[in-house]
Amino acid sequence: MSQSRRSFLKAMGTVSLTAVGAKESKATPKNVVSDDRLGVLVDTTVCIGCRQCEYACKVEHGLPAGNIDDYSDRSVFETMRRPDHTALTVVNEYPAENSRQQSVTVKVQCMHCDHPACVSACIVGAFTKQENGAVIWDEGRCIGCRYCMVACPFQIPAFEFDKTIQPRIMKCDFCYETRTSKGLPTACVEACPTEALTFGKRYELIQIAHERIRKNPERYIDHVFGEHEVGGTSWLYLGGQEFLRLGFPDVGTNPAPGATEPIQHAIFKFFVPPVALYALLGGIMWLGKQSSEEEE
Amino acid sequence: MKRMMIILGILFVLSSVSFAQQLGHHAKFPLRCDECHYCKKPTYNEPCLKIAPNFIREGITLHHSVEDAPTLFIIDTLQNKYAPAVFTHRLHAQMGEMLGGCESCHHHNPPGKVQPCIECHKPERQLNDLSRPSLKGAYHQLCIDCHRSWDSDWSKTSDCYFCHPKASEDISQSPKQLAELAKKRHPVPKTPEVYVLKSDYDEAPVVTFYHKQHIFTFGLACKNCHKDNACADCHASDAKTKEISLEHDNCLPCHEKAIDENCEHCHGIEQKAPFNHAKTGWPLKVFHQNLTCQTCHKNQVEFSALNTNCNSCHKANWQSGAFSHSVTGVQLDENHVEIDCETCHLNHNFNAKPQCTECHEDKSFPKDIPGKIIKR
Repeated sequence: MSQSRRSFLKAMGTVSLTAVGAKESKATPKNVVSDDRLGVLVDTTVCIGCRQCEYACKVEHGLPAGNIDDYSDRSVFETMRRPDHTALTVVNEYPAENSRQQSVTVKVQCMHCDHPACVSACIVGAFTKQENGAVIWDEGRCIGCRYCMVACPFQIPAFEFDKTIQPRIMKCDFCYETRTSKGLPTACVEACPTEALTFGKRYELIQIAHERIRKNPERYIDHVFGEHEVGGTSWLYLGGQEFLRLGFPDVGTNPAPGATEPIQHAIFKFFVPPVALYALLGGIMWLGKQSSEEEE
Repeated sequence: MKRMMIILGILFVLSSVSFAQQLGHHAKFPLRCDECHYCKKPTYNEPCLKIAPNFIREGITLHHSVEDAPTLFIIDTLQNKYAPAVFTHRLHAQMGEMLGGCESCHHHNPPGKVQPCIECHKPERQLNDLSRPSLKGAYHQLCIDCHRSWDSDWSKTSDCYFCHPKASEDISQSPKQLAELAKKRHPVPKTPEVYVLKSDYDEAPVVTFYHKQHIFTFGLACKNCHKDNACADCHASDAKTKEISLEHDNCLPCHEKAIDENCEHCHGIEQKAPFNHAKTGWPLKVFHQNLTCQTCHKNQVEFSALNTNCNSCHKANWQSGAFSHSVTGVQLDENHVEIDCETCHLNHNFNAKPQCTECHEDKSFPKDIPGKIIKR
């Protein structure tokens, strides 16, 4: 019995070693994004909270949008809202820091990370990062596991829980299909009357953002949210007060999949764990055999 | 030591010559390229210049008064959604005087007269210069700043329809309503007489600021001090209870010397009396009293004593024939009216007692009058 198990293990070891040579394990997917990738700069000091972007987004995505006049009702700001399956972007209001400032309104939507956690977490590849910066979701591949919702550091992906048949993951898609893949600005950018949203190449937007800070050091804090957060995002924000006070999470500057991906991918690189495990077990058995032979 | 100085001098000349040669092309200047160019590699054919780089901004050089400002503008670039917005330009220009004047809106004006927004901000957003808002963005970004702070809870009076009336309420077609809007003026702000403020300077905590005197006597315009007063500074609900505060910077540049050396100029133990010119040793009489300081203290920031000789100011108009002597209270009779000033006022010294001895041996002023005394 013991003999046959040993031969089995030997055989398994040979198989696993050949597997390492045959197939290279896949590390973090190479960043496909272009240097000229697009983005949007949101200047929260210019936003007036008119919510035209919310309306335009719903119309663009075929969601029930209601009457545009209802969007001037500012009582919605009494509660904090999150993007959900009925609204892919929402505007929230935060109190002013002092009496000379006005309350601040902040548009929330998918940040379109350069290293998206949702793409990393999706086990079927339904999420992809496009060359132009957009992070989009493919209905045909999704199995509804909702790992993306857990993985997202900004808690953006939403799920149509009310739908029994073919519920979708809902999140801002950077108007990829209809606009940004053709180089056109997103629906919300086009709707913004104050041009609080600026659509353009990400590196240019970063330049513009720093230029604005330099010219108006009293108006802005010296921080462009999204320039380095979670490794960089396509949506960038300028603010007059600390971003933590404006409902932004403290996400750090490391890519969100940074913690999980290297561990998983590194451990399984070169098939290390199985080989190590078998080597250990084999060693123990070999030692056991030695000592039993000595006893005999 | 001398030789050392000469060597250093030669080195300095050489280095400055070589520096001047280096400055051949402006790319070598200590400037940031993106300050003026919006593209990465400007060429002579395509310099991709930004229209309003900050550092060469000279702004409006041909000024006109607020009263000469255009009264109304009808902004109708968004006609598909809203009725045209009627912008009361002159009224806003008036309100802007305490914000920073015309420049608070006409910010990057090229040197010359005031340019309209559309000169730089085109209706379509220029994708090659994303830092410049389009006309719509420029309008909104400027308007919103005040309209939000004016309507502090940002609820009813500053929503979209405040400026963009619904199509049914279009007033841009009604000449009567337009004429009424054109008449609108911001009421002249009240000018309080005096502020007595308390400072944290323990030895002499009371600062007396004669606000009205600074305007009407010292000839300051509102915008000399009120450079960035927001509408809400007066109109917010808590404006009346807000304490007036003054910083030393507010009193620059006129009181620079006092701030540095003479605290007692403003600070005292109790309220100070207003400025009185008599204390300078030259009490102002009826004519000078009504003048602003700058009329005599020309081009002075901090006023200092002037030559009290009348001719030091009255150079041209106080010559014989051009001067009506009656303003002094003495109307000259026909014998004296033709005489040269110097005959009585020796050496043109009008402060000294006039002399009659040139012509009369037995007469003297004021016992004898060369005409008659009239009421002033």
